[in-house]
Amino acid sequence: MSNQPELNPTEAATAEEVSRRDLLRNVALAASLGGLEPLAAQHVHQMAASDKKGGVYAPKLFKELEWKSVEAFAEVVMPGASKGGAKEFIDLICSANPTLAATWTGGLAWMAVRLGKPFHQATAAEQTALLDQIAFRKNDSPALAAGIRFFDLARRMVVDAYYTSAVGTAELGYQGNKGMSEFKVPGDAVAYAMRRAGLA
Amino acid sequence: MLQIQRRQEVADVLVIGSGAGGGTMTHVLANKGVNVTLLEAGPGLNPAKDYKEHMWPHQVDHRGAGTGKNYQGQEEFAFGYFLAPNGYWEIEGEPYTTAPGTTFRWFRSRILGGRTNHYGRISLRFADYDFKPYSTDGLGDDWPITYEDIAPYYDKAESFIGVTGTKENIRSAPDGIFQTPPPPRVHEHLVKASCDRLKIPCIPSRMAIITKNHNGRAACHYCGQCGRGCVTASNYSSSQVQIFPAMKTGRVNLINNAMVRELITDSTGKVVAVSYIDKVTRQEKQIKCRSVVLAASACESARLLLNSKSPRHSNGLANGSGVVGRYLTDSVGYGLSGYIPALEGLQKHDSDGIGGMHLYIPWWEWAKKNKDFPRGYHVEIGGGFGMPQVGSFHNQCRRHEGYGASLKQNIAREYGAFVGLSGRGEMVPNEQTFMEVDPNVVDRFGIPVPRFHFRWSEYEYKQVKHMHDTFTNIIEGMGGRVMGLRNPEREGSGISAGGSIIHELGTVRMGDDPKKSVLNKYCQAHEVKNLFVADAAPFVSNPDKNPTLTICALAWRTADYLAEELRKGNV
Repeated sequence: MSNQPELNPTEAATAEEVSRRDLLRNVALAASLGGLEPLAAQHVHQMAASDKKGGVYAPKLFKELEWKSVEAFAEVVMPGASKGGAKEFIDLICSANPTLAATWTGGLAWMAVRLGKPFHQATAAEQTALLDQIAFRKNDSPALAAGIRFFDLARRMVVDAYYTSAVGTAELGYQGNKGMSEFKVPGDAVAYAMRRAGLA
Repeated sequence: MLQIQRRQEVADVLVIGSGAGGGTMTHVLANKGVNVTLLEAGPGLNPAKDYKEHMWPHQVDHRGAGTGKNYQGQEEFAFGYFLAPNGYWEIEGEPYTTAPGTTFRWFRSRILGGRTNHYGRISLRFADYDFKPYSTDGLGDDWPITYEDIAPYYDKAESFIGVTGTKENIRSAPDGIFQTPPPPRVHEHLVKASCDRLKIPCIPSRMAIITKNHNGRAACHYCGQCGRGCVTASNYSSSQVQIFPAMKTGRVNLINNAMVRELITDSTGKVVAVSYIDKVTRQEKQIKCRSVVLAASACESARLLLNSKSPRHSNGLANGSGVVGRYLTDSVGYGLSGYIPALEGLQKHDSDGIGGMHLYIPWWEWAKKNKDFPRGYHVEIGGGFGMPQVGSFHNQCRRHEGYGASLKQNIAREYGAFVGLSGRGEMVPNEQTFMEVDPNVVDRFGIPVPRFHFRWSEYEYKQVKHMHDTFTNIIEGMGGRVMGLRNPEREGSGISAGGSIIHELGTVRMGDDPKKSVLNKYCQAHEVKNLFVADAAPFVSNPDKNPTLTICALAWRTADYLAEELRKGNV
């Protein structure tokens, strides 16, 4: 895939088609603010549904033991990551990126060697004992370097998967991405921050 | 082999490029009863389908990560996957070159509306002194027009497209015709209070976003996603606000996927036709015209002139002066991020607002005599509870490390507690910064490509140092900590790389003297009476204000002049 996929002229609607649409139709849609959610759904890229046909995601990269290990690993790194679709996200990205794929399969195997078993078959205590070593740069040593490098990448991908999921976004408390007719800022929030900053 | 398909019609005005300049031209001329043929190098646009406004990351399997290049420290999308069809610095098959030892990034957006589909919507008038830089400090050249010449067109542009703002009576930030701005967000209150103590102005931002219904467009619904393109056209894009409505006059002939190769002149030196490649069929075509307006973006317009060579114009068209391609500049960019403990534990609320800042800092030292660099900059403010996206918390992963509950706590504590300050400053044109045509390289259409030369001077490095010190003071004034160690002088990580702020301009400049400029004060070529330029190429300087509003105002003025010249039969 190139950096900048060419826009396919045959897919893009012509401006003539667009000009026939009454712009006011969009205005009406936005005015009924409850309508924004269906409006959003209308924009969902085709890729959204492509890999979820039948409701069960079939891994493109990971083999059976790896797949189970990724699931268990992601859940320890970010509790709730499974619900957030972390393993599917990681598999999809890695299936399109050989360098990341090698880091993941290599990292999972590295952990399995250290544990003497696949990650998901280790006890919780064994899992955290290993992660407590590779989750920190200060532990860098020839024996751990490969694990630490893997974890640096893996953590970022699991964190991304978790917080971009509905469950992670909700846990964080993000309240936006919705329409409103007037933008307001809570006065007590302003007062709280100003006071704490010594600027009140 | 080259079989040219000649179209029969003769266009009254042929506009090349559909961004801010081409869109304004099309709008003004069509509404004055002039027939316009608009050539766009990219495809058409369907906002309802092409804009990803309101999409959640989880609605795409890759969440916006694409093929994961960001995890390898590489860039896959300019400004992220969810942005409006927004172009990029590299386009397959359409290369450009840079002279050895220089860095320049050339952003191109090939789609109806161009960069206005995604741009920052910041709409700042140039100040009176911005048009007279040489008279002010002896550097560069004065414009052939004054603030008073363009002010009525700022009025027209603001009235038509809709711009937020407040009357402030600050010389560096002239007031305009404003819509009511949204109130400041929490972090913006802190920035303003810190600025107040430093005696730095911090005022409501001027953004091309409507907060009241306007010309059949719905008021902003405050989702904060202007950059993704707005399906309700509540912000300015030339595609939605100017071109689609202008097409309803029946006087606009839009030709998409038309990559212009050259302008054809007759024995009298006038442009009589434009030759282009239909990208869909790769058929070479020619269309006749009575007049032509270049609005293809500064470097694309200059490239076209340089590539339009003939025995009469061996230097390129309208280039007897040799200044086409010279005087290239980009805005000076520098950013600093601060962690603000005062924002920890802030009650969660929807802080999306309009797309971008609600307050900004206009330049405040324009009257100061003893500073060590010329000109100035404005400051843009970022922060708030942003939509979690791929990459949002990589900083926390790197700084806090760990995993599980402790990492979650660190992320939750710091969510929404950062403030970003970005300086956008004026670069003084210099002799080592220009573009030319590379004699050795052509693109996939066989068109010779630009070769860039770019150098920051001491002026810009000193300006960036000033930004660094100022931003540090503002952040620390909020009780914040500056994040990351930065060397302001390191290109790319400190001072921006040339072209990366995407305010490149000046390559076909105006002036009263035909020996030192290409265009007269109406952006009409000194040497070719039916040739006009309506993008940012005519700018004589690159003031510390984003160029789009001035592109619109100047194009409007040029359109008025051109319509009158057409009526008089002078063109």
